[in-house]
Amino acid sequence: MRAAQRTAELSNLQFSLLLALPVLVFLLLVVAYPLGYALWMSLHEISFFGGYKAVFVGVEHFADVIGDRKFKKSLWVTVRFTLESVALAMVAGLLIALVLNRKMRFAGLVRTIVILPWCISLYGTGVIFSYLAKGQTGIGTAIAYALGIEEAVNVVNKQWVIEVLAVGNAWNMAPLVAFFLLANLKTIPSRLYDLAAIDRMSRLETFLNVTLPPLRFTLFVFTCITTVLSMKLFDFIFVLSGGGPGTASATLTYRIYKESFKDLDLGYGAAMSFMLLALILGTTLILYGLWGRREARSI
Amino acid sequence: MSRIQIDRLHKTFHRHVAVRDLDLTIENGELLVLLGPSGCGKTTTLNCIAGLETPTSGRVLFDDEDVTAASPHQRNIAMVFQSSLLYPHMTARQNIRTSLAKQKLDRAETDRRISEASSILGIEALLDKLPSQLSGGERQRVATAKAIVRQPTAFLLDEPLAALDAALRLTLRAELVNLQKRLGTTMIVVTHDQVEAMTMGDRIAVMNDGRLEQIGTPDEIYNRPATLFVAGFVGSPPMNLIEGEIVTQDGRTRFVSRDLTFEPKLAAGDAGPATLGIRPQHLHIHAEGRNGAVPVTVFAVEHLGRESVVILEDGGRNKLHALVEPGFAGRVGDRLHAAPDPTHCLLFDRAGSVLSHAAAE
Repeated sequence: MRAAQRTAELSNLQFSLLLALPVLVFLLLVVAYPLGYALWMSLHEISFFGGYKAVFVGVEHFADVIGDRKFKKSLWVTVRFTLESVALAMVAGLLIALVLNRKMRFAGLVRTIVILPWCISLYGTGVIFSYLAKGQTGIGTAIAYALGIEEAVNVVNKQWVIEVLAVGNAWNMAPLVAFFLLANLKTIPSRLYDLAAIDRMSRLETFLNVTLPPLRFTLFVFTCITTVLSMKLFDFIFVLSGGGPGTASATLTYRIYKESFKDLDLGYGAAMSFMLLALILGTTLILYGLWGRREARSI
Repeated sequence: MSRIQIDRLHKTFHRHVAVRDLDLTIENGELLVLLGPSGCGKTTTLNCIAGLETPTSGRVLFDDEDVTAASPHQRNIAMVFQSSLLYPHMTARQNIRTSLAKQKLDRAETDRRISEASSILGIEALLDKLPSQLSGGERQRVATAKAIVRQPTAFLLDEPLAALDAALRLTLRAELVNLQKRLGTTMIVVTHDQVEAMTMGDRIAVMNDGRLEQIGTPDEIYNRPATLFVAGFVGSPPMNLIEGEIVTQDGRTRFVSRDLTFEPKLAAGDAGPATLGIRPQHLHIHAEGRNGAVPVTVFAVEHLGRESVVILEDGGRNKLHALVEPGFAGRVGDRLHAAPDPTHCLLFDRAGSVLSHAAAE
């Protein structure tokens, strides 16, 4: 009897907190603790040689990072890689969605094949694209030989490696973009195209007035998602180019890995990773401010 | 305004025949309703008239001019679609304006036409709202304004009221007819709702399975259906259909079914299998058995206020509908007798064509 009364006294808020407790504990362990630890590290000089030592240095690492030429180079590589990846993934995703939305035979089979790249791990994508792009095994060389040019074509070079990475990354992300856009396309009543024909709209006007409006919110969401994924991408780059040749494809994630785990400067690496976090947050906030707010309003 | 002719229109999709050799003439200023069940080809026919579909064979003529190959805007038709389709991201005003975007009108004329159409439909206050902010009836009015603003040669409406609730449908169908009569523009309405067809149409073309079953005024369609399909499709409650055969004996024609031997007042038909059709208001209920009456059991009684519908079951478990006075006191399970009125019945042959109508209407 008393137990029943106690249960009844639990307010809705208390009950929902109780239900959320396991998740809160889990998030505390896997998000808050590492984040706090990283912040602690970024404020310390950590050395392993001659015994583990952590000396408090304040914001010295942050100041160093800002003045670091290698950091600026990596920042630029990340921005270039992200811009190219997002543009390619979104355009390819939209084109794939438009093609899949047409009536065709074996539509189910085609859809299954198209989604496959998304099912491959980024590690696997890295291996595939490294074979495809390198001189010894690449398609560039194959095409050159077919044309009678007896010279290996290696596109994993200082000039083009970022583009190779962007193509591989977009290849992996575009199917997911395409499927969400396709879901939106399926909601467009086919009669709306008839209305556009009666209103004498050109193909471009029909695309802008009938096809595009229901896609705009998804396009915004996936621009954000692919931006964040590209900025924090590591495994794919590690496998394909290893940040090279030289430092030509050393993105921020690769730079952080190198500083932290190869050069064992954990404090400096941690400070740099907060710069990456700021970049990601800043970019998504700008995207939301310039674009997302408007789309959210129109729904 | 124009007269629309459809000449041996045939349309197939892959192997499916949607419309078979359809001939149809819609007179200038007429409101024609294309009526039929879903999949009967009525929307395909409308699409061919609009120019949204190309006929497999046959021609479409506007005022004797062959427009079969012309695009929708060359035909200058306006269309209202089911659920009053509008561009969802444009305001009502922008939606109406797109109808005129390619008309090469100056801005003042465009604005004048929009405000005229808006005042005809009483939507001035809604012009700056998005379709999602409008109710179903308001959207329908905006879609209609979008159609009339172009001053088209013909209005084509595809199930314009199907997505609306019953009360609104009643109001809007009267408004549509009123508008069409005021503007005098040829209008074709596609519907599967026979009440809508009866109330709106100057003439009704009943379609089934890609074919034209019958075309005529609502009165002709209701009282003189040409086929069994039309007889069964039009009318609520539906016409009673009893299967049996025609027996000719001693120069007298009788209709004989399992439970009924009946002498209709009809010109003699050929002997053979036949179906007797009788409207619910011409099926009379009697307590006592008599010649030309079917023994029936009351299955349900529906009181409609002005009248009541009795649903009866004959010996073969077929349902018959009869209209009775509102004070009808029968209860479920009561055994009664239903007698068709010999002067108001129809006979159909095995193929479904009407054999002859009752002598006197």
